Amino acid sequence: GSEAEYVANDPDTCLMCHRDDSPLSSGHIMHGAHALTGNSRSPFAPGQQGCQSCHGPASAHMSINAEGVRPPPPVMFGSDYDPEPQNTVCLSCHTADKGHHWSGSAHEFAQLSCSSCHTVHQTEDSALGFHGKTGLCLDCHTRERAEILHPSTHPLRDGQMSCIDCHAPHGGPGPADLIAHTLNDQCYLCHAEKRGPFLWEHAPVAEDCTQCHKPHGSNHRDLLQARTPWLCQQCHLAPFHPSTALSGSGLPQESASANLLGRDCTNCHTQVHGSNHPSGAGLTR
Amino acid sequence: NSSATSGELEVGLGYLDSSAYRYGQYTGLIDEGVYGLLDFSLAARAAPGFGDTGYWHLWGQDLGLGYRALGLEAGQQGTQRLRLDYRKTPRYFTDTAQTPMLGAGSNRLNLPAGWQSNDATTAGMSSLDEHLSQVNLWQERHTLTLDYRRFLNDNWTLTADFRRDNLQGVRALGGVSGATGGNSRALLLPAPIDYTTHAAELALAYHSARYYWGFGYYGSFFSNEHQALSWPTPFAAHPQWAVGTGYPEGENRMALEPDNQAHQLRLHAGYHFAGTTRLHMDANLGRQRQNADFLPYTINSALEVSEPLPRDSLQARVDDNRVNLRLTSRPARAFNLVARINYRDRDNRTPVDVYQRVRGDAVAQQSYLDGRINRPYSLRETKASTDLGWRFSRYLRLEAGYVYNDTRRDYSEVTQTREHSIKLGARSTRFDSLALSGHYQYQQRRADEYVGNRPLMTTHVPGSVGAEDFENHPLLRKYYLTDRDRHQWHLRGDWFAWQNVNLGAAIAWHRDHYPDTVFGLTDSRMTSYTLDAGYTPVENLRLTAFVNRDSYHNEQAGRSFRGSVPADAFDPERNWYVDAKDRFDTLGVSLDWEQLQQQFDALQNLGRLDVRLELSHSRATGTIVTETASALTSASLPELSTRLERVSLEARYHLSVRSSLRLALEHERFSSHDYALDGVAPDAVASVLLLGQTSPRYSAIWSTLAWRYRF
Repeated sequence: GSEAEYVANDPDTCLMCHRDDSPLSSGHIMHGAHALTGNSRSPFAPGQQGCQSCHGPASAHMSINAEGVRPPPPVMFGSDYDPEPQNTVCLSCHTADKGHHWSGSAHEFAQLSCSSCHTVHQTEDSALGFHGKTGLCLDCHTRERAEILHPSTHPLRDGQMSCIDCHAPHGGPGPADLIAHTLNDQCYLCHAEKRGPFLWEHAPVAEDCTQCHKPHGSNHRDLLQARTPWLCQQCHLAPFHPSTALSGSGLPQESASANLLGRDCTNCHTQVHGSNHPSGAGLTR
Repeated sequence: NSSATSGELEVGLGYLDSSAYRYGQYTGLIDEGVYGLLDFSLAARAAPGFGDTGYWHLWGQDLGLGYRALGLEAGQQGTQRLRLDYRKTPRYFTDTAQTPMLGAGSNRLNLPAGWQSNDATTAGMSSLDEHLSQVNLWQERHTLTLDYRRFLNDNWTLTADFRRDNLQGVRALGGVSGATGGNSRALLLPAPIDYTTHAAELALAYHSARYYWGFGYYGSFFSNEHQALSWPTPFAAHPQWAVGTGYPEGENRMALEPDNQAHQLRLHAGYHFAGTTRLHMDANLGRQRQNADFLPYTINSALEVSEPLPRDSLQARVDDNRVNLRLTSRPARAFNLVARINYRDRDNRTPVDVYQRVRGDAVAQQSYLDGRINRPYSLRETKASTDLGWRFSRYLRLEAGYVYNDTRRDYSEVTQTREHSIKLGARSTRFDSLALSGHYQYQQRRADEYVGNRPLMTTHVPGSVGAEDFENHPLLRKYYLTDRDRHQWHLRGDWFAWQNVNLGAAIAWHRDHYPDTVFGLTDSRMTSYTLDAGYTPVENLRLTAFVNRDSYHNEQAGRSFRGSVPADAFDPERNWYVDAKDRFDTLGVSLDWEQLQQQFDALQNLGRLDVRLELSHSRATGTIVTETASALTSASLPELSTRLERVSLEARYHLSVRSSLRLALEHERFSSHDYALDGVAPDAVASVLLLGQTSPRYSAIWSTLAWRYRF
């Protein structure tokens, strides 16, 4: 807007109504990161427009219109408003650090706004930092909320890990907005021992960890997609023990099958992610 | 004052009423007793209006527990930022395992003096009971990260990130002696974990209103303190083994994960065309290397090894290059368009040789014709996708998408697969109090000719196997390579019934069908139902609840056949079918009530009291039913089950504006049943010496009393 449309004496004028005890209190922003005047890009730095840096020129907002109501300022934040103008305001400053992958990301395509997660009027934005982010994500990602309660999971339930350890909420280069470019690269950040390359590779391992694992939660050890040995038998049906029909007849009171008890297939084929032993073609060394 | 300093300190004591290894699997609360607690947060930031931009924040969490975290962030807003983060994350697996092996967690395990093995079975281990001792399986991860970012000016940004990850512990690892499924003898070993990974990234980026670009280097260096694990054979020699390979002379050695490196040159760029159109590109030129010295074919000096290794180390090299292109645009205000092209080329350039193995440190070296050729798998994937969002009206948004994926592999049963996927969806907010959304996706994968014995042919010396020979049954189709039809439905509704009540429901249904599969995974289905509710009668009281049921159902088929009876492979009376179901029921309730005292006259004279109540319940069951044709028999398996219940109550009483007391009680009950562990003694299986561990069960109460001071 033109200079004439901006209200003078921002933020004092704004805070006359939006004081702490008002329903739309906004004063806490003056104690947060956006209020630092030494940063020339801060909304309240010299030469900027204060509250109107983000909300737009507010001269119309200062009066009652013909319908007897006070029109809102041009840019309003929250789920009741069009996300695009909101996000444009935020990205005008935050593109360099957060915005490269925002356009086209899952959250952008779902029409979320920055304010869906962030609360800039608070002294501390609760979405920043490591703590508490899992709960913020799980408010919407309800299936994952249930999955992290499954018997085999990453340590998300009590906060030792957080969703943002793997996913970039502002968009990422990998599938499902992962931080890394491929799913396997994401897993290798913590599990680099499985990267190899090995002399004897297990074909699906180098291709996609989720061929066998479910990262959010599983009923089976090591976050496996299905119970072993049947998971293994979905791809290995060779003569003798790999093709054996396994059932309760392999329990201790009957035949006590090595293919069913303990760690079943991995009692022997222990190096399922690959082996570097010259005699380890069967992934037993 | 030109800076504002703030902080809080919380000190306290906690008491765990009973030892429970799994309860503290990620926190370290495993032993009954008293624990000290310390959390702190210190921060300083330039006060608004004083022109400074400096800030720092130092914090620590759970410093008295097995899990702990420390962090520091400091910088000058708009100029530079440094983040330093340390986390120690334990994982305690079991404290019920037993083993006769000495030296748990080292790279050399030994049998105790006086070990007796009378034959090649666990029944022949006559001194087993007296030599079994407890071994805990656990690991601890120490992660240190340092991220530095400097805004050189309005356009240029320099970033330097570093990460050190160290993992130590003891894990169960199968160790086998022998050459075939018939004469193999194994035991579960308490094997060492001591991994260290260093990763660093250095990048420079330019950003302007119209375009941006950047480049950087990322390197990851993994090292394993233990490159090998050796152990003596605890079984007396099997008749098919070579002389000197059973107890007491027999020795075994396996290779543990070798040191490796990954390097990436990264480039990204973007251009903002006129209007709302943007083009973004990510490119990675990557290389993975691994060149650890090979172990010899065998550790057993009793075995004759006449043919040397083809090389001293693998000199493995994988070139992994990716390019992602993304175009986004809003050609009209109501349209939202995303188009992507993703290309990945994993080119495994590892040398290929014939390895004349000594199988399981127990038999003579293979001849050349029996040797195995390593298969350096390569993969090339090209994916094109587009998503279109159309706001049809103020209340209705329609979505559609298409994905094409072409994957080419070598050394694989299938050289090329193609996937086509369409997505349709709608989101409606027609009524102020009701939001509905529905999405459907159909994905069709089709594979080129499935040559089931191609892996067999490519890992054997030419001429050593016939063109019609097979290892996997010819009718097997691996689920990730074969034709697949996938249907996915997602429906969600949210009803804001009253101003302070919201209700939600979601249904998801997935089905994978493999039309070309006779043996292997033939059908997979998932259904998920979720109900949510939220109630916020007043600003400081919020009650939320959810209940969820997820069901997974896999059907697979196979045929049991013996290599020594060729007719087996063609006998349908040897077919078997497995029907596996996993079902999860989860429920959660939480109540947050701040300043509770205001609601009760009797408490009006008290200070501020905040209360939080959480309840969660999770029950998982797994049923596996095997049915067989007439030539085979089967029996039922017990149900797998896991049940977790947790109730926690936390009350914080504010003694003053700055100080408060927190009393928290948490009761967790856990039980599980697993037929592969429960009641399975270490010597229950004749050919494998197990750990005898049991499924975890516990009931634990964790109580904490802590004092917090804010300043």
